[in-house]
Amino acid sequence: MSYRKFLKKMNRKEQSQDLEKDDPKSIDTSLTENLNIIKEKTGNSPDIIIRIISFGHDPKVRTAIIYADGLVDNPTINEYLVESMENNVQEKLHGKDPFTILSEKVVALGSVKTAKDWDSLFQSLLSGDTVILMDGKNEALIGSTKGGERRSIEQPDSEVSIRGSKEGFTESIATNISLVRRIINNPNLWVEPMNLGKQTKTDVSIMYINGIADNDTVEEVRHRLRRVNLDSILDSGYIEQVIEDESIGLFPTIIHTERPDAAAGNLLEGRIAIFVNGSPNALIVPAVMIQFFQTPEDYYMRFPISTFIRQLRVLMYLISLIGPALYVAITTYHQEMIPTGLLIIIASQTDSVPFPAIVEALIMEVTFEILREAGLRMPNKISSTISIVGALVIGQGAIQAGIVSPAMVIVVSVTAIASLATPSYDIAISARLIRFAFMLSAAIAGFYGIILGLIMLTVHLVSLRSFGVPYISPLAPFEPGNIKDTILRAPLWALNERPKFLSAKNRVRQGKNQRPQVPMSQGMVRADTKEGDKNEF
Amino acid sequence: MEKAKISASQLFILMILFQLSNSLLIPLAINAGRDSWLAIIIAMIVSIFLFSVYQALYQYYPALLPTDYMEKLIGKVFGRTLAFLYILFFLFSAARVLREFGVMLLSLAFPETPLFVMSALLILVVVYTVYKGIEVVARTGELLFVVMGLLGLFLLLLIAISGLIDISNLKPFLEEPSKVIKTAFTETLYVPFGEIIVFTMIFPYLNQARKLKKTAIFAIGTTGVILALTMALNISVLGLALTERALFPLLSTIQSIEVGEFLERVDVIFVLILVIGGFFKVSVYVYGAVIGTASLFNIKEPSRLAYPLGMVVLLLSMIVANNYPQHLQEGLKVFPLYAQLPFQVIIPVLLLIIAFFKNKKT
Amino acid sequence: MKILGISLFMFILLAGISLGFDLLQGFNLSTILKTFNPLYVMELPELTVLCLLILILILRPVFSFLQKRQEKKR
Repeated sequence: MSYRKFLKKMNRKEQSQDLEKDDPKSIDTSLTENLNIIKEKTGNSPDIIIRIISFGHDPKVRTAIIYADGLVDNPTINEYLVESMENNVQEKLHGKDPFTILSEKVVALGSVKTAKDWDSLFQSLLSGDTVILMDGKNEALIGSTKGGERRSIEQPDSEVSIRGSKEGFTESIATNISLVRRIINNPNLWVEPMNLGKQTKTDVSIMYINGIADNDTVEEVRHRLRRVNLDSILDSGYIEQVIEDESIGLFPTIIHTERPDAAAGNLLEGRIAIFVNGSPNALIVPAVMIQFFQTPEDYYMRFPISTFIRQLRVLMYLISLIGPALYVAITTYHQEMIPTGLLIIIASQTDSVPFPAIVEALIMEVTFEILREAGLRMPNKISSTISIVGALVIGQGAIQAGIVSPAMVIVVSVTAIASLATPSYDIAISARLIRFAFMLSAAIAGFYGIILGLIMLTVHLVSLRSFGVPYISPLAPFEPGNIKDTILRAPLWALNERPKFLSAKNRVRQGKNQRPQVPMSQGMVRADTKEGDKNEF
Repeated sequence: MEKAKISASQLFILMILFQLSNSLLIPLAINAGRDSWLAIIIAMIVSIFLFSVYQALYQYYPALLPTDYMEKLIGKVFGRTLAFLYILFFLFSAARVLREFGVMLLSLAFPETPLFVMSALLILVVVYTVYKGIEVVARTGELLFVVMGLLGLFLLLLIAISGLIDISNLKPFLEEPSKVIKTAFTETLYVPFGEIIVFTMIFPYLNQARKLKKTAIFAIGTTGVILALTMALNISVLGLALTERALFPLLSTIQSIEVGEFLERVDVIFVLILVIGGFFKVSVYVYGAVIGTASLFNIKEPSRLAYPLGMVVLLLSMIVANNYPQHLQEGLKVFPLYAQLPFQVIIPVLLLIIAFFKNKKT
Repeated sequence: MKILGISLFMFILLAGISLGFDLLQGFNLSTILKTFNPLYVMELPELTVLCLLILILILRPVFSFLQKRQEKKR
């Protein structure tokens, strides 16, 4: 039985359980009774495996090992649990509590705890732990045996890395947390587990660095997560949509990453990460807009290059926002702005086109959106067909048929490339919709429309907040100290302070003199420089 | 009052953008002839004294809006009436700015589009901004200020390398001193410097009250210098005769830029400055009116006032004058004398005197 | 409703003040009344925009009024 089917079945059973009124809360002393309850509650699902062993010697105690097949690590159970229990059968139990012996001496598992009520028992059982019940004992022993088949750590698809670490998060929350811990070896890296989703009971964890992250923000995150009362949480996207500040607008106020180094970098700046079991994306809050134009790689490269690339990305974003709108505005209202030679070329092309510029632009943009969506969802083999159809049939065909002008095709393709070059898919996708609004406003009022649109966009952006942090920080409100890491990227040795808008206290990030102290000056060195001088070679 | 705080630097930027906006474009203090820049500087210095009056009033009631403390100073009936008149004054000024702005835009780039549509589009953006509150206005200012600054520097650079500046156009210096003084006191003092009266509605939001004086005086000074430089630049590029005749001297200056073969028509920069400036001036006025009305009529959600008052400004801007020359005439002759002089100078001074004696007693 | 009332009151006052300024400028009454021309000589696009704006203006009060009535019914 597949995992999903199993979940489905679980849900069905639980629903029918809800109807029963006298649900036993705590574990009974009788083993048979307990096993019956388990069988009844799980609807006799065949993947809940119950093995009964006699433990100890004189007197023998009937003991049951219960686990969910596929969720546990089978070798662990066989080697450390079953075998060790059978080997220790010789142990004499005179007067001693078999339960204590079992938990202290026999079970050689990483973590062992006890449970007294059914809720926590089922919670552990269904998340992959092994439950040991003993006759005559109203307690259960729970050994951590989580395992089973998961995807292994791979390179993330959505955030490709050239220089940095090639590891990516997986679907397992434990793996993800460990990936970050491997980078930040610090006891102050705190993890708070939670359990959300009425039916799915998904593991969710908050991770932050105590002492760097702002306590109020951490409390705010806790508060927002606690009020989540969804039926199911299948991906971090579910959590994102119910805890973000602005859920109606187009701009993401929570950033997510698949890369442990990106997550670690954000944690070290004082942000908070939220991991959701089953999702390879860690949510990071609070997010500011400029982050969507940054990648972890920016910090690994030489700083003038990263500065240039960051500014290029912002420019790309602007092009993808107003590219077609500018073309529409210029050709409709402001022809005098184009140099005469170019104007003649454009005029001769648009002469044969029956539509006004705005209609042309709309046709091409919509076509492009369709092509892009088709290419994204298709299997690789078919998507090459789509690109051929797109390029040849629509691109060249439309021009030859005289439906659109070649200049428009150029504008639309530049826009398309620009929008693909934005590193964050989330922010690039917002431009796709806003672009249409800009095109319309350009058609109505030319440059004036575009400028008004830009002002409107600015007003909207500065009014956004992400967990209390203004979205355009540190540009507005302006923080002169934090400007070094925005569309600029100052040299690493100059990034001495953490962002002020994230944590007011503990802002010193590194020692002051981190600039390389080279032994030989690159300028002229005086001949009488003595030995031991800094400039001496 | 809404629950918000703005920083000193945000106030500084808002004041500069507000005062520069349309004053950059019109022939400011042109009645003073070649020495218009001097008239601007004089008006600026006088307006600093005017500001000290506003600031002294603010010191008496640092946490209250003027519409609130008027009631405390001169009684419920008079105080409320006066506050209401102030709100009307703000709305009327906003409408005048909007009209000016719309006409400029039409004469510039869109001769066929109706004025009403142009103004309506701008007022919608203004309404949206005011709806979001003063913090958003301030932060928008910070971003747009950078844009304005870069554009200004770019323009200056272009003008400089085009070799258009001819300093001899500014000579002879101080031909008619009486004219300069007269212009400074009858025109330039009220527009743009006296217009900071609307900022008394914003001062209470400042997070560090003691920084107000320094910030505001610095802002007024910067504005004065920029405006004086702009007028001097216009006259030195165009000559006095052309500047006097031009509706928008800065536009003519920009249009005379010619660098290489391709940088010829940079009018769009002018449109950009125009729209950003108009947007700010109208926004601040409407914000002052909205927040004043909310406190006067005890309205729980000030945001809801933004749209109706925006519509009032829009319709008023259509009927405020028959045509543009009449509008300009009104702005030079009637409006300063009957509205701006009392509201910007006389009433604040009287209020300050009353406040002085009232607070002395207790 | 209160807000709309206040706004209307303000508009009427301001229109009056605007007329007053025109009088002070020395125009006679018939010229002044022409200042209202832009409001009733409108072309189609202008009218459309005006209607839309007024529609938005009254939408909110009407909506809240309906909501209140529904609550009362309950």
